[in-house]
Amino acid sequence: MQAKHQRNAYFLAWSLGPLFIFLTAVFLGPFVYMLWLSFTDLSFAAPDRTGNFMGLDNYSRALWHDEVFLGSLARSAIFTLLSVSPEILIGIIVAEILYTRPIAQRLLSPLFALPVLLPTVVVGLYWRIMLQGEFGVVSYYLAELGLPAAKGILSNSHTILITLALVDIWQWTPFVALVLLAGRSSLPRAPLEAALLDGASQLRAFVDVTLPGMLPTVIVIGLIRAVDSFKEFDKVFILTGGGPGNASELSSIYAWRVAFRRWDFGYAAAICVLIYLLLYAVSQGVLSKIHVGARR
Amino acid sequence: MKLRRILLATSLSFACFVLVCVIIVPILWGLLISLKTRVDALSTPPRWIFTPTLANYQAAFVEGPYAQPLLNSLVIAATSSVLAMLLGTPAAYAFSRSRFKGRRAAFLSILTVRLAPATIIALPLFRIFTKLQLIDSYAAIILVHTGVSLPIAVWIMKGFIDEVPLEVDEASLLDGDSRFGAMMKQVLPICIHGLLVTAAFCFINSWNEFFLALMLTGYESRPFTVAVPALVTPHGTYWGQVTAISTVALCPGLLFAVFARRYLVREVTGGAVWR
Repeated sequence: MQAKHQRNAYFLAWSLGPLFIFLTAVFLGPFVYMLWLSFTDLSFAAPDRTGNFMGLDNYSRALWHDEVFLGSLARSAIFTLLSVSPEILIGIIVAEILYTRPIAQRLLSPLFALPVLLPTVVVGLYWRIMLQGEFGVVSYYLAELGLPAAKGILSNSHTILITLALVDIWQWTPFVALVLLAGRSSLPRAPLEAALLDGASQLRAFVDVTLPGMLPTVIVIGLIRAVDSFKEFDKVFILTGGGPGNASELSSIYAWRVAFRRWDFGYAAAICVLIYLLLYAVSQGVLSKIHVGARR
Repeated sequence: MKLRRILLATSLSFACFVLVCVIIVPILWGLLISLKTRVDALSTPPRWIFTPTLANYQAAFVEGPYAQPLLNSLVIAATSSVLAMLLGTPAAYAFSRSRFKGRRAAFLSILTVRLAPATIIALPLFRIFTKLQLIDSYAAIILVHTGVSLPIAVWIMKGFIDEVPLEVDEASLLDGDSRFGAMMKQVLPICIHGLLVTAAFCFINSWNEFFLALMLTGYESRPFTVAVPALVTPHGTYWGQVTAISTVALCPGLLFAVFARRYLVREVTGGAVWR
């Protein structure tokens, strides 16, 4: 018994040890270092700011004196809402259509998987080409259809978040539909059939029986999408760089600008910590209700 | 009643058709631009029919320096996915087979890493690598991409190992094998396809990654994700070359979509199930 116990400990050491050493080196170590930086005034642009400790100054500056930062948080939240809710809504409808059509399912699923597997940089560049004012194909046809404003679609500060959300919707909706389809397919058929036998209409049965059954999947994919969307950097960076003005400056882009354009490292660290805390609090609230690895 | 049904079926097929077009057109348009001359690419109204040319590919890869970033991407993605598999597979095996204190906490901490924004490590790592003079080296970006891929590798691999019956290990252990032996000789050969899918997913992940590469690589080691956006300048852009490189760059994703898509859903959601 003693030998078996020892062998088990040895097994855990060689299998999990390297993983946690590595994750500590790449994640935990840098994270702790960044926590430290967030309490200092380190800046590469000012020679006298060599990393002196200054307590919570960076945090109070971000939360009470920096309206650009608070604005960028709001823009991230709006962008998340504008992109994720249509993705889920269309995803549910498409999943329901595909569910009863196995042939369409088989033909369409490689296509549906494609957009999320493409480099986001390429997605951003393709849409930038198509939305260009001078020669973009989408803006051209929209203008032909009687929307001359489409020519300046990437430089319209009022609609830019909607435009960017549409690109995100293009990239993610098919995948969300696939996930929801998987959730839909794993539901038991009996309750739905019983409801239909009892004389419920298709729509009624869908709303009362199918939707509640799919709720878990909807929440899981919704959370994953919301977190990713709030972190969005690549596509927006490529498409607008945060502009026009700072109309599409999401929080991740603002953090990048403070760190790598203004070289205000201590302050940027504080911003990153705040963004992370926000994401962490929201996702923990949901995650605590999810049973991880329940397939076993 | 019958008419209504036919109408419904037609409109649904039409909706599917529109959906397919919406997905395909941007990718197709990128491909078309890469095969156009500059005049064709910039013409209004947009030209759908034209004489194709490979001039852009030649300009980007033969005359221009853009084969190197693709090669860099290949080196970084291949090395980091192999490293992630080497470190991640034993861990996945342990998570799948062992009951130990803190198992759930350990697994959740791996999940938390997946949720963390990239800015959170990019900032300190930039400073650390600058001090170590590792900025613009393959080592730096490979190390970081391995770290990012690792949680995903453990997560997906655990799913595959879970599907191997416990009896397989037990028989092997009774034969006198060590845990390591049981894993290498019995369990992994059964889920070899799982190993390949997981490695492919790590590869795609690193191949597509932009933000960390932007921060931590320089001219020598930059992957295509960093090199291509740099081609877009306010003074004029060779869209032909941009799309030519992009077209080559989307091949791994295309291959994955065709051959391994059925694993995609569980890879991203990680089999997280509502309690």
